[in-house]
Amino acid sequence: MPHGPKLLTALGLAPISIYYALLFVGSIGIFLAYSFYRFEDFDFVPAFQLGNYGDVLGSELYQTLILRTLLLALAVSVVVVTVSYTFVYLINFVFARHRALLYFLVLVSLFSGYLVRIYAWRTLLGAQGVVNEALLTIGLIDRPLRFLLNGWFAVGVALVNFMIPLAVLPLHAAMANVSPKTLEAARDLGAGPVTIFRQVLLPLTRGGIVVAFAFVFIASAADVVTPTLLGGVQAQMVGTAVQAQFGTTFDWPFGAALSFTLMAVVLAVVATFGWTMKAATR
Amino acid sequence: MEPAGHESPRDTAAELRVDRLRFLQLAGAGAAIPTLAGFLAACGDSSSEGGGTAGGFDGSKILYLGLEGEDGKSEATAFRKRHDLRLQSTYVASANDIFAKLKAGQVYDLALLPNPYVQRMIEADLIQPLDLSQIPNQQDLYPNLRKPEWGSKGGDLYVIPIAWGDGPFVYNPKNVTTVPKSAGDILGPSWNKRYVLFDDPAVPFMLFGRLLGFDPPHLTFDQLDQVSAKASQLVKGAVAFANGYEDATDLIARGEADLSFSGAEFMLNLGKEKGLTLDYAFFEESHGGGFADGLAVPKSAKNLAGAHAYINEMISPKVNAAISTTLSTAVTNEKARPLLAPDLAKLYSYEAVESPDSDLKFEDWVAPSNPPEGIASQADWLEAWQKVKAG
Repeated sequence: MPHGPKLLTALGLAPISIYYALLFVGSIGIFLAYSFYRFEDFDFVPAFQLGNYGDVLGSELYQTLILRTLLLALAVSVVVVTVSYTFVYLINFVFARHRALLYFLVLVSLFSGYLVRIYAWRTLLGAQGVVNEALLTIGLIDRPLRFLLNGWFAVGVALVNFMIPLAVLPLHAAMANVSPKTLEAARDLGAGPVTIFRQVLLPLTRGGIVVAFAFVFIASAADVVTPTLLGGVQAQMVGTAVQAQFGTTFDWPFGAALSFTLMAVVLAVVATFGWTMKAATR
Repeated sequence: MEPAGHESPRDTAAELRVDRLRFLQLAGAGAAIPTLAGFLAACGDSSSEGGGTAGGFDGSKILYLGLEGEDGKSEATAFRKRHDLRLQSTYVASANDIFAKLKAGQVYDLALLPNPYVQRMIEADLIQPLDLSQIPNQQDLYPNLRKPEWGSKGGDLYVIPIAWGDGPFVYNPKNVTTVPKSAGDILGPSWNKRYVLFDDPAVPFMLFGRLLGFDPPHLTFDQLDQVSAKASQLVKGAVAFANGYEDATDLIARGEADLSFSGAEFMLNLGKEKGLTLDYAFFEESHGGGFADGLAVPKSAKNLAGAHAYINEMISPKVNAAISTTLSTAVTNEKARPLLAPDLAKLYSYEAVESPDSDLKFEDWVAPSNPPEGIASQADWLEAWQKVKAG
């Protein structure tokens, strides 16, 4: 490659690289270092010791919180990816003429604030909310359904709602490359719907599925606000424990170790999902 | 404009002395004409407003760190305008965040501290002793707030209380016919899924500690286990963790709950805004549950003169009364009480801050950070609380 284009490429990549190196990689690096420090008398004592990680991994409490967080994130990811995949398929191959409008309707939810949407869910699912009022009015129930809000149900429903646009984007990018003629050719060759899905569509859209799963899984596992505002006293996730370590006890080294443990487990789950998908669609 | 006469004559004298000094300094620097104009303006200002302390901070910026509503944002506007002061506030959700930000080395001129946090801030070397010669209004504070033990160390005062109150629970009288007397009453089946909590162990652990006959916040590990068992029952029966007083009021207004286990009198005003009539009462274990919020100057402060003058203004009668009106808290300056609306003036028993024998104590309701052996620390409380929440 001549020097001119190389230089242009480097210049083009420089701003984003510097931005990420300083603000993302740098800050992550600092907290990684903190995770090996000791916490003594409100001070972070520089050290290289694995005591904080040992405390996280040896604690039944944090094991429970991490497991609970992973299960919720997994359930949300499976639902979101399934719903979004079906939706993107229908838009691309069934309602292709209305594609722009339908994508707009999905993405328009990103225009409103996260907190606004959380409070909207409170209004919908609360004891005096729209859902309960409607069910009471038509006589299906005689007292409000309390499980709708302040529990795992509300957290799950809200997270699915928030995450669908995040999953639709990479799935759309993957499915846009699948020509309807390819599917038609498979049908002409005698493949049924299940075979077409497993042997044609799934391998061609695998990348989008893995990215969508990763987006949703990581964002759900790391969420603090949704369980705090919609989860009531039951839906405690590991994010709130991390927050407490940084805010309430000031034990940043332990909070950092807890965060990196969660990060490692989440990355392992995402990597496992990627390998499984690759093996299943080979 | 603030009416003259609310400030002590001491204030005016102090301001005049310092303004003369400032005049000489600036005149010597060759800025005679504009400085003379400024000096005359300042003299006119002090005589008409009757307040303020040392100069040297005009045109500067005050960096405030603390809870929203306690920075005098609207209440001290006239003072800031007079001195061309800019207030830049960083609001936090809890006092723990204040500690974390100061510990991280961030620069602030003022920090708002609830009483249990002052000693730990001093211990962590995060705040500095106040120069009381720059806070003449301190002399007008109620006796129990003038130099409180919780705000002092080694003869130095580190914090000036700007508001105080007690610790009630708040309930919807429409749905609550039998008002609970003890925190233990809430654990009964009739209260299941009818109340909200705050995500903080301090109040439940304090109340259940006392209910069990212990001496919180100094709990042994065995006592902490027993308190945690009670707290587990409490959490299991709760509807949700409220994200602040407004959220707690909102949950009651939406019919999700009938009672907020931790509350504040100003929730009654928040309820009124939502068309809801609320009432409050005290658990017998709370002993009134006194709190006091005060302003301190962090070690990282750059604008010391401005910070001291601002503290002085925040406890001036008119501003102190205005803050009390905004927050529905009690005033700290004796001269501020006559300026309150009658309902608000009667809301608190001021004997609590006048009499040395008062029942209401501004207690340390947060577990010690570095306790003696055998006593649970704040970290232990937090871990116990996490276990309680995890079920």
